[in-house]
Amino acid sequence: VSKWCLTRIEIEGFRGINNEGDPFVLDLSCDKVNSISAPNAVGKSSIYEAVCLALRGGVPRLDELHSSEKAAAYYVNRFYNGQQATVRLSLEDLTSGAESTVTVRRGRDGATTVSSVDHADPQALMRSLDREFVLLDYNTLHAFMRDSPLARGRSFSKLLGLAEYSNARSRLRAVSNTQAFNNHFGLNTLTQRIIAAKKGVSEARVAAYKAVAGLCDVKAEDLISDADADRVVLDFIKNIPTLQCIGQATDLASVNFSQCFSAISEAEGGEERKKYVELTQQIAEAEKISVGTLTGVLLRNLVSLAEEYELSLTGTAGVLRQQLLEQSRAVLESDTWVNPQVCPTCEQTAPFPVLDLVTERLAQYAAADAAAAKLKLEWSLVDWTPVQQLEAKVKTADEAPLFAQAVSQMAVRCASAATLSALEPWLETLQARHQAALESCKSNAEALAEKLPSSLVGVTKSVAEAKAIHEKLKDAAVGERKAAELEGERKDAERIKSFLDKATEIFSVAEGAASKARMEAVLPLVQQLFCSIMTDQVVPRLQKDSVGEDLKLVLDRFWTETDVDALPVLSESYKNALAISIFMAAAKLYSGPPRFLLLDDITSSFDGGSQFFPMQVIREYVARPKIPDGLQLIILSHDPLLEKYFIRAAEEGDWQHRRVQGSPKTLLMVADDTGNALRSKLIKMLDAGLTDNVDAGVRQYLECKLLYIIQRVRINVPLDFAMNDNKKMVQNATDTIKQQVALYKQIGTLVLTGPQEAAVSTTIASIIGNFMAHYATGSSGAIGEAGLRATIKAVDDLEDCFKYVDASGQKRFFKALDKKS
Amino acid sequence: VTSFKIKDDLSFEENWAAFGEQLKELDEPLAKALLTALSACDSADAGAVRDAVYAACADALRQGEGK
Repeated sequence: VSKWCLTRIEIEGFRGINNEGDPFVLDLSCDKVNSISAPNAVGKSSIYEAVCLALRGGVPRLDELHSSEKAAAYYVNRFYNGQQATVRLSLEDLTSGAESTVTVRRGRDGATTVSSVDHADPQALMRSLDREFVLLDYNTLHAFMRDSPLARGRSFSKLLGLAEYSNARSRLRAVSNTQAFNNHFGLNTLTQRIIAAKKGVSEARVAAYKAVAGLCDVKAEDLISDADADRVVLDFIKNIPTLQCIGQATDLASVNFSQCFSAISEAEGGEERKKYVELTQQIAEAEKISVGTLTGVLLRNLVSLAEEYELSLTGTAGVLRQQLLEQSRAVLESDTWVNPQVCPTCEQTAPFPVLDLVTERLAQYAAADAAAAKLKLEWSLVDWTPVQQLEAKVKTADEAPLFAQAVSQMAVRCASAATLSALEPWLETLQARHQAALESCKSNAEALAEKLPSSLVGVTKSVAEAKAIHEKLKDAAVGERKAAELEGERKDAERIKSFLDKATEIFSVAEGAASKARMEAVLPLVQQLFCSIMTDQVVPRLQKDSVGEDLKLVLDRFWTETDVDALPVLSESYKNALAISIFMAAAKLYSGPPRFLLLDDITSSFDGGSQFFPMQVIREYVARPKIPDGLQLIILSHDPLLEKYFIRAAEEGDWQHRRVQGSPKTLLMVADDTGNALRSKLIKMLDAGLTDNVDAGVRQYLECKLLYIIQRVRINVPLDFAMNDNKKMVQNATDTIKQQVALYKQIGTLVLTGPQEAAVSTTIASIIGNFMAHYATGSSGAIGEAGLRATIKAVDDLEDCFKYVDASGQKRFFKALDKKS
Repeated sequence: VTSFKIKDDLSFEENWAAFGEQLKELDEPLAKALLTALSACDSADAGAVRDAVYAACADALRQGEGK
C-alpha cells in the first residue's frame, strides 16, 4: 500500500496568493514536523485551501457561500492577470520511494483540470488522498464535537477508514426503508385491489350459483365448483327437446346461445315470438346492468373525503414551495449546516430550530397527500364500469356523462367535492330511468307471453338464464385470474423487501462490528493523547454499540466522578483536545494512502501559553520522525507565541520551521532568516516600476530584519515582547534595540564604534520618518518609490551598525552588544 | 448467511464482493440485481438509488418468471 507524503506545494494565482510568473514554493520534509507561520491576511489559509482544491476539487468554505456571494469568482486571485489558478503538489511514496507531481488548474469559468506527467491517474491519486483527517482546521474539530451522535458516528467511521462501508450502509438502509418501499411498489393500494378483486369473484360466484339453483332445482351449497355449476346448467338445457342444436357441447362456453334462441323462434314461428324473444333478451341484458357495490352512502363518503382533501390543501402553497421546503430540510439535516436556527433560504435567524418549522410546513403537504391518497384509494375500490355503462345507456344526448367525467378527472388528479356531490342525484336519476325502462319491457313481455304457449316461454327464459349464468361464471374466472396476478405482484414485492431487509441487516452488523473493533483499537491512543495534552484526571471513552451508528463521548473519569457524559462537562479547550486526540489517533492507525496531515490553526481554543501542549504531544506520539511509521505533520499557524515554540523545536533536528511573508496583491514567499530573499524581490519590483503594495513587503522586511538583528546580536528583549500588539512589532523592535544600545553604552561595555552607535539612532529615525510614520497611519500611498528605497537602505545601514570587518575582509555580526567575537 | 464479516486485510472492493457472494446464497437473482444497480448508480440522492434498485429487483423477478 502506498504511503504518500507531501514534498512540495507550488501555488500561483490562487485565492490570496498572486505570485504571477513566480509561483509560491513551499518545500516540505517527509522526516520532520513542518511548521509554517504567517501573520494574519498574508496567505497562510490559501495554502490550506490550495491542498483542499487539489484533493477535493473545491474549497468548501467558498462553495458553501450563498450563490449571491459569487464565490466561484474568487478561486483565482483577484489581482492575477492569468485565466487560471495553478496548484501543484509533489508527493513521495514512502513505501516505494516513487515520486509524483500532480497539477490542478482551476479557471475563472470554474473548469478544473488535473494532470500529471509521472502518474497514470492523478485524479484517482488525489481521491485516494482525500481522507477526513488530511485537512484539519478548528472548524472541522469543533463540528465533530457539536454534531449529533449519529453524524459524529458516521464521521468517525470515515476517520477509521470505513467511509466506503458507511456510505454503502447508508445506501442499503435507504433502499430498505419501509415507507419508501411501500410507496414505490404501491403495496397498500395493491392489497386493497386484491381484496376488491376477491370480493368481486365471490359476489359473481354467489350470484351464479344462486341462479343455477333457481334454474336447475339443485341447492347452491351442493355445487362444488364453477365447472360443476357449468355442467349442471349444460345438462339442464341439453335435456330440453327444442334445443337439439346444443348437440355435443361440453360446457356453456361452447354453446351457441343465439342459435338456441333461433331454434326456439323457428319452433314457434311468428313475429310475436321474435318480439318476445327480443324482449326477454333485452330484459336479461338490462338486468345484468347494475351499479355493483356503488351506493349513495359510498358516494357521500367520497364527497366527504374530497372535502377533507380540499381543506388540507388550504394549508399548502403549491409544489414549488413544497420543493423549497424539502430542499431546506435537506440542507438543515446535512452535516454542513452549522447553525440550526438560521434559515437556509432567507438566512434569517429564528429563536428556535428552523427544522421544526420546516417539518411542520411539510407535514401540511403530507396531510394533503394523505387525504388525496385516501380519496384515491376509496375511489379505486369501486368498479366504475357498470355505472358508466348504465349512464351511457340511459342518459340523453344533451346530458353530460357525469360519472365518465369524474372517472377521467380522478385518473389524473382528485375530482372536486362539487363534482362528486352531483353524482348521487345523478345516480338516482339513472337508476329510476333504467328501472322504468325495465318495467316497461317486462310488462310488454308478460303481455306477449300470455298469447304464446307457456312451455316455450319457459324454454326461452331458461336459455336466457343459462346464458346469464355463463356470463357470471366467466366474470368470476376473470376476477380470479386478476386476483392471482395481483397476489403474484405482492409476493414479488414481499420477497424483494425481505431480501433488502436481510441484506441491510447483514451489512449493518458487519460494518458496526468493524467500526467498533477499530474504535476499540484507537481508544488507548485517544486516551494517551488526551491525558498527555490535558490531565490524567479526566479520561475519555468512545462509546458505540455493535449495530447502531451513534458515537457517544463519555468520561471514564472526571476528576473524582466516573462515567460522566463528556460534552456537558468539558470546556471548549478540553473538547478541542479530545477532538484532536480522536482525529490524530484515527489518522495514525488508519490513515491509508495519505501519510500527511495539514493542520490549520487547530488549537485556536487553547490560551496562548497552552498551545504548546497539543503540539508537543502530537510530535511525541503521532508524528514522524519520532514515530517511524507516524504521520508527516504540516502545521499552519498565525500565532506568534506558538511560533516561538516552532523556532525552538526547529533547533532540535526533527522539526522544520518556515515563515511566509508577502501579500495577496503581489506575492507570497518563504522568508529566510536574514530577510535577504525578500529584499531582493522588493528591489526587483521597484526596479520594474511596481510600487503598488510594495509597502506591505517593506514592512515585513523591516520586521524580519530587526528580529534577525536582535537574534544575532543577542539583544535582550522584554518578557512580553512576543505578546505585544503584533501590528507594532517594528516599533517594539526598534525601541528595544535603542534601549539596549543605550544601556550597554551607559555601563561602558558597548562594542559598537562611535559612528555605529550614532548611526543606530539616525537609521532608526529614517525608518520611522520615511516609512512607519506613514504606514502606521494608513497613508502608505504617500511614501513613494524614493521613500521605500530609502527605508530599505536604512535597514541595511542599521544592520551594518552591528557588524565588524574581519581579517579576511568579511562583514560579521558582533557576538553580542558587549562582545565583538 | 449471517457469517459476513469485514476483514481488515481486504480492500473495500474485496469485502463488498464477499458480501455479494453471501447475498447470492440468500437470493441469487435479487443479489445480482441489487449489486448491479448499486454499482451502476453513483448518485448520492437516496431517491435515485432506491428507484434504480427497486426497478432492477422487480425486473429480475419478472425475467425469472418469464414474464
